[in-house]
Amino acid sequence: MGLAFRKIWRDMRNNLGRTALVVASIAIGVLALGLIVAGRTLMARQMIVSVTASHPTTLQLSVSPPIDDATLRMIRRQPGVAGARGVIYSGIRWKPTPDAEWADATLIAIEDFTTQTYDLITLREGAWPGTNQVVIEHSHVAPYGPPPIGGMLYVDVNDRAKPLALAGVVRDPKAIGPPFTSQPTFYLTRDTLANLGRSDRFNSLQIEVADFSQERADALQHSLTTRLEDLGVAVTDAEITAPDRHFLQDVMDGVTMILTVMALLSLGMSTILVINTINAILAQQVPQIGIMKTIGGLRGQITGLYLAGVVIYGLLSLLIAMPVGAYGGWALARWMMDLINVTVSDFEVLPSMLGAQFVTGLIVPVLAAFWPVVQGVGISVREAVSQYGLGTGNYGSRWIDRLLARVQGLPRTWSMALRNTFRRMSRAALTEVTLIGAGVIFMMVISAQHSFESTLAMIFRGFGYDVIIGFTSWQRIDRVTPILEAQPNVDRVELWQFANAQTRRPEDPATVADRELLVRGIPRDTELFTPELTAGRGLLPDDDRAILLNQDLAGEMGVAVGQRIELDFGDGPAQTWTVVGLIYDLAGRGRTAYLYRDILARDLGFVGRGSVAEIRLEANSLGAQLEAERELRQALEAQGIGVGFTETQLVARGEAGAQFGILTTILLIMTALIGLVGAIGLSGTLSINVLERRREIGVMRAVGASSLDVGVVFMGEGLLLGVASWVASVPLAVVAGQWFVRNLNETIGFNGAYYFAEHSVWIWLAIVVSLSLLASWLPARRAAGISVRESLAYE
Amino acid sequence: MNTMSLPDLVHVDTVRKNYTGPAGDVTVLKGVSLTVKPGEFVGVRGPSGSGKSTLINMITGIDRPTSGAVTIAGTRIDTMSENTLARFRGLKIGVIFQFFQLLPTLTVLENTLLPMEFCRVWKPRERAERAFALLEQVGLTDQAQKLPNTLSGGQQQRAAIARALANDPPLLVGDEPTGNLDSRTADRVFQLFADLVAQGKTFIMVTHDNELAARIPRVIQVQDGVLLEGHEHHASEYRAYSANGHVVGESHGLSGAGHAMSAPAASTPSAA
Repeated sequence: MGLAFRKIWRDMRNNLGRTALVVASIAIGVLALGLIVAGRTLMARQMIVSVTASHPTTLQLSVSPPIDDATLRMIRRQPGVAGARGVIYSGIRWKPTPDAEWADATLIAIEDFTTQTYDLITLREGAWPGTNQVVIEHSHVAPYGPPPIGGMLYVDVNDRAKPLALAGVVRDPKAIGPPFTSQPTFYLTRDTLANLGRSDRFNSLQIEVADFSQERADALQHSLTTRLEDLGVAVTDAEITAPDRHFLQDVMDGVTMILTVMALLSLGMSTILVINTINAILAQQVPQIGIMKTIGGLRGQITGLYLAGVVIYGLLSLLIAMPVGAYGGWALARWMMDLINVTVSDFEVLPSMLGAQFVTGLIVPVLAAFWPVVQGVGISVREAVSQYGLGTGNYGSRWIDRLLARVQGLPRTWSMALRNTFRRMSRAALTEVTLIGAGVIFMMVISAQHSFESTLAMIFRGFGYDVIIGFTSWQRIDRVTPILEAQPNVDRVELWQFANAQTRRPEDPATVADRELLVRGIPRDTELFTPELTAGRGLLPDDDRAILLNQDLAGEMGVAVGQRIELDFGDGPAQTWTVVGLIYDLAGRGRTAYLYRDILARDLGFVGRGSVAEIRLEANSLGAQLEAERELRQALEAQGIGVGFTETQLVARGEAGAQFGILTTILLIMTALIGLVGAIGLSGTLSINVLERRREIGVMRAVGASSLDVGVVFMGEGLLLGVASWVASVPLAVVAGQWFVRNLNETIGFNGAYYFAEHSVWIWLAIVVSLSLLASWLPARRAAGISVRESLAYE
Repeated sequence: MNTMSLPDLVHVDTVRKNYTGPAGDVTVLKGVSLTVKPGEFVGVRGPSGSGKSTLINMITGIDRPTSGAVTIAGTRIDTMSENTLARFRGLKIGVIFQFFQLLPTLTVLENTLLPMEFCRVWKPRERAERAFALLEQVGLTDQAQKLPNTLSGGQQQRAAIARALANDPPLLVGDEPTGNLDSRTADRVFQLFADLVAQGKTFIMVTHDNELAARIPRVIQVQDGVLLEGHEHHASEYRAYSANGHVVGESHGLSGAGHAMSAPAASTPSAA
């Protein structure tokens, strides 16, 4: 059968445009799949490598007040504890040169950098820090611009710039860089920390659970919490991470799952494209199929020929998809792993990815083309060889043909475009599927982004602050408020109280563990706090022990509006509060509650004091917020008031948005890929239509049609297909968007609301119109260039 | 040789053909019967829409009758499966089309070889030898490696004839095989047909050309789906001419169903 294969090969070579179309159709889907398979495999492997190499701890406890070495030794001796290290987290202001502006930084100190056992911080350059020296996390070097190793940076100690030498650069497996953080992390010894006026006691315990299991870790957390409480130390936060999982594994798994779904969608759409294109190719090959049958070709022989052709298309597509997928997957893994401070090895090609692509690139197109080929080859010899002249086919026998024939008043070329659009219903339908799919996915992704941003805006609107300042100790409200109000651009100042508590329902038995709670005490006359309520009501001026609870926490505890909870601040007996409302709040991992400051102050013994200032500005652009943040801090420190942390709303929103922004960027890239499939499909459909209607074009030319007339027919068809897909995609996107956003939120652990992005409808209309015109331009131009002689001569 | 005693090569028995289309039901053939003996040269004539192409399609198996039977070389073809029919046709019937229908991406030689490959006849080494011999017979050896679109109409039709002869079928059928050629070329191609008949092939062709029809020994008239009684005629003096005008075979008018020509003198291939 060598000759017949030669025919197939030459058919491909002589129709490079069509060959390129089919190859591109297959390559896109295979490329997307390969890229994601490679990316996922590399990321999963490198995350495990990174975790296991660092000898991770599995239970992290934040404690208050910080503990000393003796307590740490006691913890190490507890049953179930295989090992533990103490860590001190602190904050400071720093600058790289004496003239620079102060910026926030995180300080981390451990017992001894040279004899680490857990969560290994590795030295990359330079030396471990000595006295009055620091080292910096390597992923923070480029974004924050510290001096070179050996150079001096400056930290704020009692309003004086104290120089510290930069001794080296390290990699901390638990550190991540921008855009997830907005400040650098410096590592230093405990004595240097003490020299900076900070406590050298441990406020974080990182523990290796012996013979790790989730049950053992839970039990150990409970026992250690009880043991520490007996010593007057509260556990303010606890986190358990399995030893073979990166602490961001869940997020990365979710992200890669979404990307896999998108890749499969790309593959599905490219498969539809292949079906459509093979159908069209076979339609063109009908006379030749008839001849081959006339001269003795069996159906099986001819079917095998064309399927072999599809295999060749698949092999050609692999030439593109394999190298691009391999490099793209590695690049994707490297980019994503860089974000979470995991090292990815130099470029490598994964056999598993190659295997998956090879199989997909060959088998999927053959499966897609099988039925079209069988159908096409099944045409009777009579039909196949009798195709000459224009023929009438059976156009006019369907209800849609007769319906469209009644549409009058359009220019003749537009009438033809309209009727031609529906001449080949199955081909049009397949083309529409890819365009509709692309539109739905685009609107879903934009709606997801819009939902996230709207949720954030709603939440931050509920807080109402432009700048927030945390003090190092409780401050008198009547002292701090005038200082802040006197600063320019300040519109309103409210002093709040932030406190940590344990909570439970009064009726819960002792076996039910308390839950951590971040309590915010708000002034009765607050103007800033206007939260989004999901049940019940807000706090009323004459409320006493009324509390607003985060809806997630309420759900976990089984607490409804009207029911009561107990709050235990550690000093004094627990107090009972009535839940009057549930609020939508994402702060504190969903463990927040809001009540009146004056009542909280009575319970805590800090009447007339606040721990946090929330400030609303008159002008609140980013620049204004940052300037105000600086000036307010200076004003407070000038009065000897210690400032612990400051934050502007726009920076906080930006950091929260950055994580989602990365995900939506990746999703939009995948959407662009799917959109490209849709455009290729449309262009291919129109190209094949031009080839099929060559004789019609010739007749049009023979009766006076200009090139423009011919072009309008085909571009009109393309535009109609595009716009029709847009009409169909909008309602689907509204419904699918809800499902998509819900699953996306679950994946990234964000309990956001769904907001359909209406602007995405119009953006997609503009895109699909542009794509349609672009996709139809070349076929239309080709059609317009066909002469009467060329099209009506026998070929 | 008197072919009257030979069994029928083609036997069409009361064939009816109906079509159902957008315009309704149409009966194209209304119970047609026809026999053709081996070695006959038969023309089929009739006005447009008379059913002559449909009749040819029945004989080649390209189409199937609604009722009736079609038998070729003793084998009934109207009840065969598509695959069996395709193989049978490849071996027993050479079809020549009005628009040549050469596969455009195969050379002349390759188009000629293709039926042999499909039907797996001749050993592979023999196929090329045979293909060249066929091209020589039709005068296309110099064009063997050319693609169809570089050839003239006459050359393409001769290539199509070589292809039709590839598996040495006893029956050749042409539906307006000269319809797309100028008269001079048509004449030369027709001569080729005559030469093939002289070599023992049976040839049935549809033609509109009066001149050519006059040269065909037996011409059947089709009108409105029936063979007209009394309108089948036999050329009273049929002569086969070589390209240089020499008579290479002739017959003398005989009534009856058909007869073979007298054995022709050796002829050279005509160059159309």
